[in-house]
Amino acid sequence: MAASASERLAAARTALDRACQLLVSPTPEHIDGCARLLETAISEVSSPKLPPNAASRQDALGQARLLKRSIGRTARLLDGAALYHANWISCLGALSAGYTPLGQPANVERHARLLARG
Amino acid sequence: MPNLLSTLYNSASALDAYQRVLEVSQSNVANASTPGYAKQLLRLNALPFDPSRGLPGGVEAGQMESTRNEYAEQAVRRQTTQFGQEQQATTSLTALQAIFDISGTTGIPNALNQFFQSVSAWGQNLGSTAARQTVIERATDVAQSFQSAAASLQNLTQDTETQLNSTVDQVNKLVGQIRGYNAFILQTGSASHDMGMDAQVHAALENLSTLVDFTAVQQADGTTTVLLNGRTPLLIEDRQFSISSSLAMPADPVNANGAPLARVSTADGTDLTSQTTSGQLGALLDMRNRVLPSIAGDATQTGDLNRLAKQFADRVNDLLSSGNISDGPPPVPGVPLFQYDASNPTATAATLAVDPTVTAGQLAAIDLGPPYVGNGVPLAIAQLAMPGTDDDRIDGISYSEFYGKIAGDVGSQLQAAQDGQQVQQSLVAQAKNQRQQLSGVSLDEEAMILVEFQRAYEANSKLIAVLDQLTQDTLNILGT
Repeated sequence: MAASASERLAAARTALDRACQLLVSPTPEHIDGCARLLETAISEVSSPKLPPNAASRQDALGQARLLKRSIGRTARLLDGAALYHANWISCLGALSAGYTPLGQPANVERHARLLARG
Repeated sequence: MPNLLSTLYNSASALDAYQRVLEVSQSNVANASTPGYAKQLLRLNALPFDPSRGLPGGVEAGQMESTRNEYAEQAVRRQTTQFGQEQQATTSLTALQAIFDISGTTGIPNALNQFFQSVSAWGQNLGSTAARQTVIERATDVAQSFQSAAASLQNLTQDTETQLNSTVDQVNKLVGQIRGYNAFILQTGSASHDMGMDAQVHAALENLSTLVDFTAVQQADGTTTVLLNGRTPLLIEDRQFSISSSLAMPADPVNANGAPLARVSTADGTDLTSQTTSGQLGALLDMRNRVLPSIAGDATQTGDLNRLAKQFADRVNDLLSSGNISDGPPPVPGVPLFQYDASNPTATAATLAVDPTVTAGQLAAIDLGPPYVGNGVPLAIAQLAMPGTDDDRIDGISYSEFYGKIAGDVGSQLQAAQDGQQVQQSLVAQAKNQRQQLSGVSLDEEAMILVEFQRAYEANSKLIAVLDQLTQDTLNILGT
């Protein structure tokens, strides 16, 4: 039996909650995992079916509002992690290449390199 | 036997170095849960090796290094400050929400409903003294419910002021603690490698970050400089600049008898209130100077609860005064039912009362019109429950709806604070994890990881934008 609109929205929210858990420790692996979970959430939300009656529509509306809040939370965690690393890149630039004449941290040129981790 | 001796010497030196590595490792394990402690690393230096020149090689213990990264520390503190703010806002708004019942079964909405019902019953039975008496009793209930809400708001305001003073004291105390460490460092000049003290300083800074937004800078001499909101000095070397809280009237008050505003200032009187917007202190100032006055009023505004009390009382009084108690002759005009302190607009709710001289027989029922209606006044008062004209409304809605709007606004702010607290809790955990990840990573490796991060963030941001739009579309479809 096909899942109801409410169930699909709840499934999307579950995926987002898991993404949030990964973003609390934003390693590259976790960020990749987060993208997969976001894709899952998108697939649950795309092409929504209109619930058949007022009660189930109300239920779905409640789930959609909760999902909207989860999206906000996920976005803030992602922004927090991105900002942290963007600032850290600036710090690295200043540490390794000093400052530009305008006082901005210098850009560090990164040539193609291979990183092997065992 | 020089080679054998040098080999023995090398072995002893290496054993000594490894013994020190073990000691450092043991200290790291022992302090794993110590607040503010950062992992220590002992650098091992290879000794010159050239047998032809008699250099036997080997290893020696080098300098000990801390894995602490001040950038990561500051990031944790920044998120902790935001968390402290949301946490305090949640606590304060939870207490405020408890004053405003939106179920309609208690408090002001229930009292209003009961009053309108009693007036309606009087309108159906004009000759009944009991019905008239009930109207006066229900009117007294309305007045008391306003007084009760105003008193609860006053208590909450005082609690908030007490918490403000206590938070300011905590800030001064924590800065004083760090000042003590600075003084010790300046006296002994040797604290740069005292990891115990380093841990204590950073633990104190982390505690301070819950309370206020600040920047901490580690100076070359090992002391810590603390700047409130990044600009106002709280601590430089061993000189502490305390802050204080007080109540002060604004320069140009709208209500001369209204409550003053809370203020945080430096010892020389510099006002820090407007720049103190985050941390627990920021949340308390916001509660005391914005949220509570918007309902209870202060020197700068009347407050919604007072506006509601005044408009309701004035309208009921107008209707009763415009009617007649009897046609006479001579005709007997109606009298107002409610009274309040008109000299202080911020005290309307707190002083709202039924005029004790008004008796049941003095309630005017006759609306002279035209058209003349014998029970016109009670009908008009009962109509206030579902108003038909703007004269019977406040801000375009009924009195009950206006009350619901006050309660709804409080509920929305609480919801936002609870959501914010939940997100900030995760952001603090995230910052702490990132601090952990940053320790001991080489710059080269870090640079490569950052490139991976940047690409991944961009991809994830796009996915979130798509998901957000799809969810908004769903909400639009379901909401129609």
